[in-house]
Amino acid sequence: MYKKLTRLFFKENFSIKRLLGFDFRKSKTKAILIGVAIFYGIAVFFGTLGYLFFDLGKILKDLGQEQMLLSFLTVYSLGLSVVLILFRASGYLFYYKDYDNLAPLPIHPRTILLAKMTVMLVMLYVSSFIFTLPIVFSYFYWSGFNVLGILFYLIAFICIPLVPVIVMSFLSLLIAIATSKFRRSKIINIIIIFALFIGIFMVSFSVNDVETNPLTGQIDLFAGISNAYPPVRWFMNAIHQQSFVDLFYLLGSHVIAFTLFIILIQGLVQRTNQRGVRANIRKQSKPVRYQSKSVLLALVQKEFKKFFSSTLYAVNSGIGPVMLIVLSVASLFYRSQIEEILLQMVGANLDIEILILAFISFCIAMTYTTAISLSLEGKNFWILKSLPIKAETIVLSKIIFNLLMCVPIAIISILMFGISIGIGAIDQLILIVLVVVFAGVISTFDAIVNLHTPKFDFVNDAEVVKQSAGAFLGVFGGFTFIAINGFFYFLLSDTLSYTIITLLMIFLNFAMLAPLVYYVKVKSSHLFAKMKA
Amino acid sequence: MLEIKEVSKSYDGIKQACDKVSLTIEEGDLFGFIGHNGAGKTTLLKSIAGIINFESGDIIFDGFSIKTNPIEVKKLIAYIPDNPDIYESLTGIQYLEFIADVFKLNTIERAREVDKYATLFEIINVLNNPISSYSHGMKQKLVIISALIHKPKLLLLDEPFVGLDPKASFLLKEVFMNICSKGVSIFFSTHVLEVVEKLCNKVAIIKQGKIVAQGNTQEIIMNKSLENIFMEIASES
Repeated sequence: MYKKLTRLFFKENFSIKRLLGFDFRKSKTKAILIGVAIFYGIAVFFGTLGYLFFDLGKILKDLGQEQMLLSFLTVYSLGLSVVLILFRASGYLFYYKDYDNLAPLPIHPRTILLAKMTVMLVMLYVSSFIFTLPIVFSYFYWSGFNVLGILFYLIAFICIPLVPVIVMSFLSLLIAIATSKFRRSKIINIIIIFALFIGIFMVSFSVNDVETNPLTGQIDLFAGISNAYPPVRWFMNAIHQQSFVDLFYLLGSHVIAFTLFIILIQGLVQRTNQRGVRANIRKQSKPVRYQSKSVLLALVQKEFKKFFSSTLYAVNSGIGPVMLIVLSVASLFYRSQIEEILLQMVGANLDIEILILAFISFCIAMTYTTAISLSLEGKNFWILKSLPIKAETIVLSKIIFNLLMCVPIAIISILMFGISIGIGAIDQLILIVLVVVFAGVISTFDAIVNLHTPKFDFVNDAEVVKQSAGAFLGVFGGFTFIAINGFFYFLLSDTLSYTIITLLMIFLNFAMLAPLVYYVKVKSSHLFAKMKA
Repeated sequence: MLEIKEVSKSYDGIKQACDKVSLTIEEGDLFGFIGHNGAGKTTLLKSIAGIINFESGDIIFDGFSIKTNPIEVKKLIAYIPDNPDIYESLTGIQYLEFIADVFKLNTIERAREVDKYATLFEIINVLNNPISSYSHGMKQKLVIISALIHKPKLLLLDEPFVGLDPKASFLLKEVFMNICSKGVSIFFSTHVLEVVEKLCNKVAIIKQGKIVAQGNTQEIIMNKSLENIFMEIASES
């Protein structure tokens, strides 16, 4: 029964149709285009990280410390486990949506729990493996490939996320229970998670030094973590020294802890699922106040409500503006360090104004609500389709929402960076106009992406926010527009001044925006009509 | 008047979900639409509402074609699906305000209509609560209210009585009769044959995408029950 159940959950969660949002056999052109875009994304990811870790491996090899790569591998894997499980544990274990279907079946609750856990772990292992593959390759390249080392790596790799799974599962449940007591529980949830991320972000940068390769600055931090958290040390020794003892420590401690966890949470999983998320209906005597608005404003307001009602949506597509505001406020207090931090983030030796522009553009590209918000209509899409609203108006409302998410914060950030770094008034004005037009390009491009890759059939928001073709193409498409601007700057930087180039970049972005807007205007209705509600 | 002219729709290009369906629904008609599961009821209702495209034929309401003038048609109609999937991030009143904004109702109109129907269906006191906290029946009532507040000329409903308590079902039937007497047309699908028999002046039966019987309810039934007619048609090969 465990096998059948696991197979069913896999089909339910990870079928190709589910991941892409459409049947690729029925739409070959679309499949090819998305395939090319995915290949581009993968190439960018592996190309960038692969180069950085290959370079780092060479430096460490020269120092005779190539095993430090393994501490990167462990800490990245642990970090990814923390983030993924914090978001997913609640939905996978404690409040799963198909409980009412599964509970009446003659299946032992332990079997259901194990099947759910298996699916969650496989999702984690696959993500973690892909994410850390450049590190693994660099390590084995510089220290030499050997069968025993790879075997030890595979065993140790399976063990290392298990402790974060245990801790984060409980933390995820605690946050869900604690915030459910409040009226605005979702917003409190979003704030807690943002605070957690910003904390990790600040700690990681506060300990870094600026080097040619930004990863070298993290060596001391990871060396510190491996001293403080023994499993990292066991992991490194097990693979690098091929130490059976360390592998035994790692395997034994993690398997015992995880087995105990499974045994102990059985009752808890039963109770939380039985209770469900309590609906709190309060009869209110407060009179209803009516307010009429334009259709566009009503649609934008709806977008705001949706955004703040989904922790996953807000945290993933709202991280850009949050990073922007945190760093720009920090720049007022840590003026001297801000250039170093930006140098690390961008990873290239550029003037401070260009570093700021690159950082702001990156944060705007990370604000990809338009690439997924149409998909997030999901089962509610029938409402928009049956109402007398033009498709362009719906798309426009989604673009306006994305602009409202990033543009005001980007403008405030430019003003704050202007104060902290001393950018002149004219240059600030040019930066503001440039950033606004660039945000328009990104928002409109993302809207087109989602018009072509709608995914209405999903069980939870994560399938759209993190796993959909729209999210992928939205983010990587945004990076492409940054690259186009970067290339344009690089071409002219020897001949023209910074101010003139940025002025020309405004025209460049207008030139990119115009056809995108035209496309939305002309094609929206047709694409909308083809979508199935 | 709603004219459905030889509408055909296929999802896979092989099997016809609707096969040259033609129907006419007059002003004030209370039209019942019955058929077994998968016969094509929802497909036809969604096609009329402009939710899905259809390959051939046309659907015309008040002189506007849903193919060429979808916005004009949608301004005059309301559609209620078989499952009340609505924005859970909104409160009940925020959803109704959203619909009122789309149909450009002024504050006085919307206050009057919302108050009237929310009081009738007994959800006036929970309108400030999030929809996510509503039961299935409460959501169904909210969708019904949202369809009624802008006074559509045509109401399309897919299984409207599913999930409603007996009192709400009774009230909905009363509302149906009341608005039909004022000239509103209602076209709804249901599996509850007694409702069609007692309530509807017209009925159509769909089988494998084709209309196999249609007309005045009394003429179709004659001396039999609608259940007998339906079973006879269903058993014909």
